[in-house]
Amino acid sequence: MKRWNTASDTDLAFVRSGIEGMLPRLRRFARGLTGNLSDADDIVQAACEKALGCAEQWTNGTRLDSWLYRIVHTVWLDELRRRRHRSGTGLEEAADEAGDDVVAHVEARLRLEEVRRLMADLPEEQRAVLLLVCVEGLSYRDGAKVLGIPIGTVMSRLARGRAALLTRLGEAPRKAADGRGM
Amino acid sequence: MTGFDDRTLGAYVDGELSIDEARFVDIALSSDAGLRARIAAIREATLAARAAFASVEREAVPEHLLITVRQGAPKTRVFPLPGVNLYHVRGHRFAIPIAVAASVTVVAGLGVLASGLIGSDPANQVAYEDSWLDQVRQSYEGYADIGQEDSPALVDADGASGGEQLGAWFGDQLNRQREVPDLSSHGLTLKGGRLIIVAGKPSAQFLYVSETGSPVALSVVPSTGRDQLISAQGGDKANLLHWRARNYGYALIGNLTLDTMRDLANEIAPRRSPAT
Repeated sequence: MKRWNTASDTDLAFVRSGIEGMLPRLRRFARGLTGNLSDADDIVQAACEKALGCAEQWTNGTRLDSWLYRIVHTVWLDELRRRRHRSGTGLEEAADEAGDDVVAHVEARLRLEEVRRLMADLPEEQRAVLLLVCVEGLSYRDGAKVLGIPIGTVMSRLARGRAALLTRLGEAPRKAADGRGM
Repeated sequence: MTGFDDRTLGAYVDGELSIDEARFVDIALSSDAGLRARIAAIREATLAARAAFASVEREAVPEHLLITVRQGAPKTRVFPLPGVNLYHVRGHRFAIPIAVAASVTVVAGLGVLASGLIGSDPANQVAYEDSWLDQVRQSYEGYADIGQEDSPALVDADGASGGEQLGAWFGDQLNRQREVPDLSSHGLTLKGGRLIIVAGKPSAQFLYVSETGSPVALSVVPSTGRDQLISAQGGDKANLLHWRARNYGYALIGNLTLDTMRDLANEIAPRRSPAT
């Protein structure tokens, strides 16, 4: 029988293992929320400690990823309330770190950085929905659960977020297209 | 352009419409160039967002985060998730690695142990298996319900140019080469592929269509479990066969007979994992 106050050893081990497997995606989500890798790692660090500290709140058999996204988002909102938005900082650093062998062409890299910058400029509520649904691949239902909002609101925020992103992409100078169909 | 708003069109692109709603859009798409352009634009925004953050996932996870997860002591008290500020741990990014630096080499070895923990408890293993197979089934059913014709938005990469190119595309997305099985000798045509999230991991799903128009999907999901022989699950809408080999879980799902599905699975799976 599940205890109320502490996660069983097996649950905790499952959560711990699940968190580790999710770290790359939690970092990506946090990166999208915060706009830079340094803050993203701080957020993920806090979220991991929080998740491990309340592992008993996760119900075995339900989606661990949605639960973790929710924690990351909650930590981010708390932080946002504390320091009122400096999400534009750190992009240059992030751009440097984005250079990897996957993105082969400099122009394509610039384009991706531009998209990240445009995403960072979106209102937080639109950005979070875009990240969860478009980047992390959550269903509307799961995204709504993570954010604690109705599915209809997810749809509205997605539509506004995509429209804003498209508008801004159209306004920005279109450099060479990404060879992979972006 | 036909009167669909962006909420509906976005839901169409995301595979979130009901069967009937999606069919309305499908019908309109066939005769409305403006609508097709809007769908393409919505899809572009989605792909742009996904591509922009793809590299983050491929980066090595900082050691301090791994150490936190592997060693972080669980708290024994319950506290509510929302509204609790834990940002005081900001400094841990530096403090934790210093504090445990001496044990890093030992911790590195624990990774293997941690990754094996899912498989160490039968209950967890069952829950894990059910979870990822359920997700694969849901993903397939969402695709199959909407239908194949005039629904190019449902795949992330078209299979028309062949399995090799599709495999290369997945290689770019997942940073791991994917070999796309050629199932044409079984009457299946490669339609394309898409990235799906299964058990919290980005995974490849290859989509085929049978000679009778029935969709078949093969999902390849990273897995830390032991190799497993092919097992079968029936279902209302489709049969699902799954197995695990070489650190990947495979799920083949389609509305074909179980015998046909077994033949397909035997074609795809390594010879040492025969269908049972």
